[in-house]
Amino acid sequence: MEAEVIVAAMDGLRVVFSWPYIIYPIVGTLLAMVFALLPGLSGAALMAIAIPLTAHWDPTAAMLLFGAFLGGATFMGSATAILFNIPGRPSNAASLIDGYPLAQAGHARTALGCSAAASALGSTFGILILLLAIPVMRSFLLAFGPLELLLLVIWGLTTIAALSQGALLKGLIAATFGLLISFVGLDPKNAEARFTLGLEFLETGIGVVPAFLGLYALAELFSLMQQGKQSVSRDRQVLGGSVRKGIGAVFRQPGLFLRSATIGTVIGMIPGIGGTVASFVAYGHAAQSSKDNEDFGSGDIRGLMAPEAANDAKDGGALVPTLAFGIPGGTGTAMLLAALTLHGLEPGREILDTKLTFAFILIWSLFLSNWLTSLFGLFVVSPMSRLTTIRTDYLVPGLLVVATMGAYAYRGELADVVLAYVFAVIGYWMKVADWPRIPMMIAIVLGPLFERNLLLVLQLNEVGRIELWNRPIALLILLLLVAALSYPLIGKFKRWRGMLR
Amino acid sequence: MIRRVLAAFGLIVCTCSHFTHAACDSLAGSQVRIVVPNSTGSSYDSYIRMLQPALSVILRADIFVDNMPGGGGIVAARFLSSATPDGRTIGVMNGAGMLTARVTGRKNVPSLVTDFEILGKVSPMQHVWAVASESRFYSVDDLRHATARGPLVLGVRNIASTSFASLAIGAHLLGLQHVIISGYASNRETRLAAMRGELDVVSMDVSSGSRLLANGSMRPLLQISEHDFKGSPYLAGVDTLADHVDFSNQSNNPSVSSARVLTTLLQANKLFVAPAGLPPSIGDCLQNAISSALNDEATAATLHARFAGSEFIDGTTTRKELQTIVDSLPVVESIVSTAAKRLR
Repeated sequence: MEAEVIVAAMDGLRVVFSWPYIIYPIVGTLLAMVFALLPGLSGAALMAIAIPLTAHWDPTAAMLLFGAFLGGATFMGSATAILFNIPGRPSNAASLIDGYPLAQAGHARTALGCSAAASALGSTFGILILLLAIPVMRSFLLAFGPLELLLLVIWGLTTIAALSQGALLKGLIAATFGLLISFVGLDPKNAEARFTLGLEFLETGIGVVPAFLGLYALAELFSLMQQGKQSVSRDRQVLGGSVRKGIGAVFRQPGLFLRSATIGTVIGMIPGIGGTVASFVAYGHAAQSSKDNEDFGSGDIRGLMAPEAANDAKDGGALVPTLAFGIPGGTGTAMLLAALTLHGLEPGREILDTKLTFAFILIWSLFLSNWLTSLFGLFVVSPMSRLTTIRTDYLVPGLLVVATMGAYAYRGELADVVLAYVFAVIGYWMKVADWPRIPMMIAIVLGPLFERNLLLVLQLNEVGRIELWNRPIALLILLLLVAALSYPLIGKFKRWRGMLR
Repeated sequence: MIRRVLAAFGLIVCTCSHFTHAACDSLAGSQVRIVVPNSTGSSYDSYIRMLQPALSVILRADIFVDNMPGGGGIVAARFLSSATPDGRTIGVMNGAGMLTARVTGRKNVPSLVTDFEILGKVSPMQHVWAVASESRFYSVDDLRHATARGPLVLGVRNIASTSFASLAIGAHLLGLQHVIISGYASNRETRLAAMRGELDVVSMDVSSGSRLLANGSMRPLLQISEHDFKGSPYLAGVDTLADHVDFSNQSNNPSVSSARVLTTLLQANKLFVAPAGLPPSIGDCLQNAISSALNDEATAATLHARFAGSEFIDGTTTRKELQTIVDSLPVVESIVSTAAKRLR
C-alpha cells in the first residue's frame, strides 16, 4: 500500500509539472489572487463560476485548476487586511488585528513578508499532515464530535482574557455583546426566529463580513478622517521594515508556528468550521501562550504569523474529510467536491484506492498554488506597501467604496451595507473609548458554534450518547484548556512567592 | 395528402414554437437569477450549476445562481414569493421541507400553492433511512427489538426539514420508540454523527447520500416509498415502507393514510418555482427551457452520474400533486406537531 501511495504521489507530481498542465495551476493561482483582492469575493465564488465552464474539460486539467483556486487566495486576502484593515475573506480578519498596526508603524513590508512565509509554510505543513493522514483519515475525522468542538470553542473563548489589552472587564463585556450578536437569527434546534426585531433580513443572522468590515475597516477609515492623518503609514517618507525580517520572524518562532499550523490543520479537518475559526483560535493561542503579550493587538508580529499559518494549514486539513468521505470541510471544498463529481471522481474509497493519482494531482496543485501565491505576493510586496503612503484624502474615499462594495457583495443585500455602517459606529466608538474590539470579534465568530454544539451535547448527554471518559480527543482538549488557563496563574503564583521571599 | 398533413403539423409546430420563443425573447439577453435555498456546494446548488450552461444556451440569457441558505429554505422562499413575476427570478425549492415547516406551526412560511407559480419538478426523489456501516441494525426488525431496551436516537438538522418529517412520521408508523436530536449544522453533519455512533438512524435522499452509500460508510435500511426504487444501485433488496405498512388497505386506516402522505410529501422536492403572477407565456417558456436543458445530452449525462432522478414533471401536474399533499397534510399534522413539541 505504501509503495502504491508513493508511486501515485510521484505520478501526480510529474503531471503537475508537465507541459501543458503546469499552465493550469499558474493561471488558477493568478485568478484566485485577483479574486482574493476584492472584498466579498472568494476562491469559492471563483469555483462556483468555473464549475459550469469546466464541465467538459479533461479531468486532470480541471483538478489542477480547482486545486489552485482552493489554495491561491489566502495570502492576498491578508495583504488587504494588513495594508488597509480590509480583509479579503472573513478568514483573513484575524490578520488585521496586528498586521494593520504594523503597516501603520511603517512595517508593511515586514508584515507582508511574514504573512507570505507563514502562509506558504503553513500550507506545506497542512499538506504534509494530509499526506500522513491518508491511511488513518477515517478514525481521525470521526474522533471530532459536538463535545470536542464545544471544548475547542470554549478554549477559543478563554483567549479573550489574554486579548483584552489589560482591560479584562471591558473585554468580557465586549465578548458578551459579541455572543449576543451571534445569537441573532434562527434557533439552531427548532428554526424559530429570535432577536430579529421582526426584520426578515436578520433571520439569516448577522454576517461575519459586514460585522468585521464595520468594526475594523470602516471604523478605522472614520478614525483616519477624524485624525486628519496624511497617510496610513505614520511616516509617509520612510517606509521601514523588510521582507527578509518578516520571513525571519516565522523561523524565530518555530514552536508557535508549528502549534498554530497544527490548530489550523485540525480545525480544517472538522467539517463546517472553516478558516475564520482556525485563524482566531490560533491568534488567541498565540496571545495566551506568550509571556509578553502586551503588544498583541498593537503590532506584534506573532499575532500576524499565528493566524496566517493556521489559515493556510487548514486547506490541507479540509481535504481530509473531502477525500475520505466526500464530506467537505468548508465552502471551498464543497465546491471542489461538486467539481470532482462532475468529472466522475467519487471521493472516498474510489479516489483513495483506484484513482489515487488524481487525489495527488489535486494535493500537489494546492501545494504549488500556495507557494506561488506567496512568491507572486513577495514580488508585489514593495509596490503594495507603498500604497500605505498614499495621502489619506485620496485613499479613504477609495477604500470606503471598496469596503462598502465588500459588504454588499457578501450576500447582494443592501441591508448588509447598513449593518456594516452600524458596526462601524460601534467600532469607532470602541476605538475612541478604548474598548477592546478583538474579544467581540472572536465572540461573533465562535458564538454560533458554541451555541449549536452546547445544544447538541446537552441533548446527546440526556440520551447517554456522550461520555467524556470515552473520548480521548475531548480529554486532550480539556487538558490543554486547563493548562492554558492555569499557565498565567502559575506565573502569577511564582511571582507572588518570589515577592513573599 | 401525407405531405399536406405533415406540412399542416409543421405549421402548427412552427406557430407554437414561435409563440414560445416570442415569450422567451423577453428573457433573451437578460439576466435570470436562479435562487437556491442552500449554500454553495450543496446538493441543490450542484444540481442547478450543472443545469446552468444548457439553460443559459436555451434561454439565450445570462443565468446566475443566487444562494440564499437559512431557515430550511424559508428565507429563499420568502424572497422568491415577493420577487417581480417577470421570469427573471426563479428558484428551486425543497417543497417537503416547507410543508413540514408549516405543519410544525412555523410562522411566515409562504404557501407553495398560492404564493408561487409552479414550473415543474425533478422526479423521482428517493428518501431512505440509513445507518452507519458499523451499526448493529440490519433491518427494521432490529430497530424494533432495540426499542424494547430503550429509545432509538434519530438526528436532524432542525424541525423544518424533510428528514424530520421522514423520521417522525416513519418512526410513528413503525411503532418505534425514539428520541430526535435536533440542531446539526447540515444534513451531512447528521450522517457524520451516525458514523460517530451518536445517532442510530438518519434520513437522507439517495442522491445527496450516494457517496457515503457508494464508499460503504453508510448502509440503507429502509426505503421511504411504497415501491422499490430502481434508480440507485445501492437500494437493491432494501425494504420499502410497503413491507411494513399495508398500502393495499383501502380503508381509512390512519397508518396507511399517514404512510401515503409521507411518501408523497417526500416527492415534493426539487421544485422549480417562480413568483405568483408570472405571465403564462413566460411560465411555458421557462418550463420548456428547463425540460430541454434536463434532456440535453451532455447535461443529462453529468446529472445522471451524480443524481438519482432527472425526469421533469411539468408545472400543471406538479401543482395538482402539491394540492393533493396540502389537502392531506392534516392526516400527519398531529404526529409531526407532537414530535416538534417534544423537541421544543
